[in-house]
This record gives sequence, C-alpha cells and structure tokens, in this order.
Amino acid sequence: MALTAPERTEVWAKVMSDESSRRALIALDKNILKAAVVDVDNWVESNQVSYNNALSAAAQAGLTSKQKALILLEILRLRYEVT
Amino acid sequence: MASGHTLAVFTPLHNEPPVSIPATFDLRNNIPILDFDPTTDEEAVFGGFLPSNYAGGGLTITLVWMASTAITGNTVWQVAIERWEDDVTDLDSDSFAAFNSGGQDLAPSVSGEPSYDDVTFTDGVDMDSLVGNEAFRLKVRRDADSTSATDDMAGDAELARVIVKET
Repeated sequence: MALTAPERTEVWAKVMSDESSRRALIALDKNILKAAVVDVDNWVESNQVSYNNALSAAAQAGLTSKQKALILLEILRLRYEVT
Repeated sequence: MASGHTLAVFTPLHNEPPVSIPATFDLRNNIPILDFDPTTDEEAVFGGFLPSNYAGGGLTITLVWMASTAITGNTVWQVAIERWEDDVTDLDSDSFAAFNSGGQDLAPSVSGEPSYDDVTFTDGVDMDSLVGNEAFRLKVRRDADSTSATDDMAGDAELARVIVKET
C-alpha cells in the first residue's frame, strides 16, 4: 500500500531536514522535491511485484516483506552511501 | 535620525525563543544562525529598544539570511512588532501587531552567500504604534506554509542578522 499523504509529507520534510543538516545542495524548488517523493512512492507501489519476482522462489517464500524491504534498503544504503 | 539610519541590530544570540514553533539554533562555520524549517512556520523573537533619535518614520527590517541547501526557489519572511507602552502593555501575554510580509525572497545563487531582504512597516498601527524611547519585541517568521506568498525554497533558511532601520 502506498504511503498516505501525511507520510509522504513526512518523507519530504525529513529529506529536506537531513540535507539541511548536511548543507548538501538541493538545486530545485521544494514543490518539485515533494512531487519527486510522490513519484518514487508511486514507483515503489507499481514495482513491488517486479521486485519480488526478481528473487528466487525460495527467497520469495522464505523472506517476509519487511526482510525483503531491508535487503533493498541495505543495498541502496551502500550503493549510494546514504543513511 | 534620518531615513535609512540603523536603529538596532540583533543576532541569533539575542533570540528569545517562543514556546511554540521556535526556530532552531545552529552554527555555520561557527557563525550563530537560526534555522527556519521549510515545511512548518517557525519563529524567533528579539527584544529591543527604539532609541530616542528615532524620528517617527516607518521602519525597515532587514533580514540577513542564507539557505542551508537551496540555490533556487524563494523563501518568505514575515515580521511583527509588539510595543511595550509605559504602564499600558501587559507583558503576561503577547500583543504583537499583525505580521507584515516581505514577499518572495530569492535564494542566493551560491550556498553560504547571504541575502539581504526587507520587511517594511509604516509609522502607526502597522508597527503597533511603537514610538521612540520605548522597548519592543520583534517576531520573525518564515512563512513556510505560504500563507502570505509562495515559499518554495527547499531546506532550511538560516537567519544570521536582523537590522532595524528608519525607512
């Protein structure tokens, strides 16, 4: 299930807060950034099945949804050096 | 005091943080700043005294600020004044006059560069009828929810100085 509007706003606010703390440049307006959060959440919603199908049958059956999300989270964290 | 002359200067160290929605104290290159959130309105309050050489004109409040992350977009500042009239104003509660907005202020083109932007007041009720030789408080708000104008700047706005000049 996609995030609710308040949850998307929470993500948007957290991204800006974190980047402000790091003083990392965000070279676009905050409304465009909010739209990006919505787009990414929609993309996650649309591609859940695709992600699950990329796993072996054993992994599909043996891992919980949270564990599958954790794998993706850890890979993204290392690939892009984000926390 | 002629037009354009400086009457008071406040730094983040003068801030008297309000109980609700306070801006957050921070340092940038060891410079004290106040961080104003991009999604929720936040405020800072400064207490001052309008000197005797104030000539009775309007006031121009110049806000010196930086953007934490943005190099594009606009932020919107608002300022309100509270007069402390002798034997009249009850300081047990706030009595700020209405906020004035400076409209949209463009983020500096390089992160770390300061922007100087004004919020103006006409003499009289607009500035809570404040006169010379009186104490006052000045409340600064980032209008992050775009009530008075569209604030579309991503990330925090960092307030470094507040300068009060006679218009």
